[in-house]
Amino acid sequence: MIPLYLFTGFLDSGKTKFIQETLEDPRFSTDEKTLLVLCEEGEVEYEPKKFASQNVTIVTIDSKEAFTREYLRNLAAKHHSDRVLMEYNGMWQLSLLYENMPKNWQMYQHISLAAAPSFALYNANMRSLVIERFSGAEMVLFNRCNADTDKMELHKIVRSSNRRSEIAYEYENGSVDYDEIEDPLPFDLEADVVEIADNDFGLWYMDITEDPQKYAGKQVRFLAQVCQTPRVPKGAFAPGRFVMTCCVEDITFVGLVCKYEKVESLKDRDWVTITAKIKIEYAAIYGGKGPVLVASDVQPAQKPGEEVVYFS
Amino acid sequence: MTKIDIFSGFLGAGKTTLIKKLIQEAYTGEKLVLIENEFGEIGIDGGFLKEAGIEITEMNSGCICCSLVGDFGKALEKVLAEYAPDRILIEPSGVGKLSDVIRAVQGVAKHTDVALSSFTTVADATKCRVYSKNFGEFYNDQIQNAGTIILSRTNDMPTEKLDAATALLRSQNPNATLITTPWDELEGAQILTAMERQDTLQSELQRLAEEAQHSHEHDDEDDHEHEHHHDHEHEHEHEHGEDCTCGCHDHDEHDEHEHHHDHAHEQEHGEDCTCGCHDHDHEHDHHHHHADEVFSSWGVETAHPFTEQQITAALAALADAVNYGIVLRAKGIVPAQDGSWLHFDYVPGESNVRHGAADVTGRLCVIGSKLDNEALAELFQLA
Repeated sequence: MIPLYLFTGFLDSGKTKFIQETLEDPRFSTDEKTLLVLCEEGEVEYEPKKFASQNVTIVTIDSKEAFTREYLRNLAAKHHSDRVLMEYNGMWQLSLLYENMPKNWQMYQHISLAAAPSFALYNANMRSLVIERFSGAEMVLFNRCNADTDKMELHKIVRSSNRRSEIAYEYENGSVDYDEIEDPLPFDLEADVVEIADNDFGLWYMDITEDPQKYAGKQVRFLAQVCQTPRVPKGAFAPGRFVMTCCVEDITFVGLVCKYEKVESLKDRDWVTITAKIKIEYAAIYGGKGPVLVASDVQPAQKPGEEVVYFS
Repeated sequence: MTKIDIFSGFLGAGKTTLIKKLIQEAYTGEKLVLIENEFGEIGIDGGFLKEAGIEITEMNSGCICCSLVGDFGKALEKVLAEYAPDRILIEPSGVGKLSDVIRAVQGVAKHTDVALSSFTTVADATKCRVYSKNFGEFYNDQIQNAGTIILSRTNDMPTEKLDAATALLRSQNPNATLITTPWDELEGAQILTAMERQDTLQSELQRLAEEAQHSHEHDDEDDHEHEHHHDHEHEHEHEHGEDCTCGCHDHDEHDEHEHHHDHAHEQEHGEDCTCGCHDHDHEHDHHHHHADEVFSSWGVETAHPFTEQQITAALAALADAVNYGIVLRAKGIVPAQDGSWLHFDYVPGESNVRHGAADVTGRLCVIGSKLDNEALAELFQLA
C-alpha cells in the first residue's frame, strides 16, 4: 500500500508553506521516493532545492476532470512512488478524492489547515466544505493566529464536525498552542439509562458514530422520528432526526439501525421515545460494524418545538 | 422608482467597507434597504447601519451549497412592499455568481417599478490572479458580468503587480469601468458616479471628439464668420447659463470654449443661423457621423503612475504628426508617482500639466486624425 498524506484547506491557508517545511525536515525523509501532487496553484511556490531529500517528484493537476483514479494510479506507478503527499484544492469536495483514490493507496494522515483571520467568514459561507474536510482530519492547524483569535470559537467549529482530531493554533510569532479544551458530553454515560436531551441528538449521534465502542452494552433513551427503510434488515427500523449542517438546503436525515419486535406497528415519520440497548454488530448500511440498537420500549411522543437538530 | 445597486465580490474583498463608505458619503438623504445574502461580515457594522436608519434584510441562503435565485425575487418584492425605499443595496453571496443575481433583479424589474442602477464587483487586487485561477467559475462570473470593477487593497501594491492585475481583469471584462485608486483618496460620490457609469471612457472620448469637431470646423470657416463669432462672444458672454443643452460645448472648459456657444442664439438667431456651433437635432446627428469618419480617438484607463516630466515630454511630442498622427486634443487625469494626481490638457501649440484631485482611475484621451494607437501607447509607456 502507498501511504497518502493529505493536506487540505482553503486557498491561502498555508498548505504550501506547511508541506515545504515538512519536506525540509530531515526526520520526515529517508530514501523513499515521494510523489507530491498539487491540485492548487497558490501564492507561494515550492523550493524543491531546500527539500531534505531530492527524491521528490512534483506533479500538478489543475482540473477536476484530470483527477481520476487511473491517472493517479499511473502517476504513482510511473514514478515508483513509495508515498504520496497531496495538496488538495480548497474548492474541491473531498468526495472527489474518496471516489478516485487508487485501491493501492491508503489514507495515512490528513492534516487540514486554516488561516485564523479569515476562517470564520469562510466557514459561514462555505460550511459544507469545512465540515467535509474537518470530519476526516486527524489534525486541524489554525495558522496566523493573533491576539484577536477566538480559540473557543474555532474549537467549537472543529468539534462540531469532529470530536477527536487534534487542534493546534500557530501564532504569527511562530509559537504553537495545542488545544486542550475539554468537551464534556452533556449526558451521563455512567447512568443506568443514558438520557439524551432533545437538542443533544446531533452531538450524541456524532459521538456514537465516531466511537461506538464507548457505548457498547449501554442503555439509552432518546426522542426520534421513525424511518421505515428497506436499507435496514427485516425486523429493524431507523430512528433518527433531520439535521442541518450548513443551511436549509442541506437538511438530511441521520439515523441508526434499531431492532424492534413490533417494528411493523410504527409509522414512518412518527415521533417516538426509544429506550434501547446498544450492541456493536455488522450492518450493511454502515459498511461494517457499527452501533446497532435493540429497542426494549418505543412510546409515541410529542413533536419537539424544533424539529431540526444541529451537530453543534 | 427604486434603484438597485448590486455589490458582488468574493469573501473578504471589502464589499461591506465599500457599502459603508457609500452610505456615509454618497447615499445621504436616501431611504435605503440593504439585502444581505452573505453570512458574516456585516455583523461587524450592524450597529452603524442601525444608527444610519438603514433596514437590513438577511436572506437565509447564500452559502456555497445553496442556489439563491428562487427566493431572491421574493426577498426583493417583500422589501419593496414593506419599505418602498429609494434604493436597495444587495450584497450577494461572495461564493455565488453575479449573473444569477442580475437575472433575478431583472425578473423583478419586469413587473415592478425598480431599475437596476449598478452591478459592481469588488475584487481584492492582491488576490485576483490566484482567485481567478483557482476559483474559476463563480469568481470569473463576478468579474465578467460587472458593470464596474472596484479594486480593493491597491494602496501598497507595486506598480507592476497592479498593472498585471488590471490587465487580467481587462482581459476578462474589457468594458467594465475599473476603479484602481485607493478608496481613501476618493469621495463616495466619485465611486457612485463610476458605478452608475455616468462618465465612461467612451462617453469622454465622444465628448472630446465633438469638441474637437467644432474647433476643427471653425478653423475651416472663413474670416468673416470667424469674426462674427467673436462678436457673439462679446455680446453674449454673460448670458450663457449652466443649463444650456446645446451639446456643442464643454461645461468643464469654460475659458476655452465659451465663445463657441451662446444661449442667445435660441432667441436671436433662427433656423438660418450659420454659425455652426449650435445644434439643431438633424445637425447633431450629422456631427456625430462626421466625427466618426474624420476623427480617430485613442483612450486608455490605467492605474499606471507617471511623473510630471513624463507627461510634459509626452505632450510636447504629440506635435509630431509623422509619428503619432494629427493630434487635435489630448486630455487626461493620471496618478503621479508621488501619490498625487496630474491633470493635463493639450491642444496644438498649448499644453498644460497641473496637480489636481484624484479620480477613480487614471485616464488618457487623445483625439485627432490618423492617430497611430500603438505609437501613442508607447509614448505614454503603456504599450
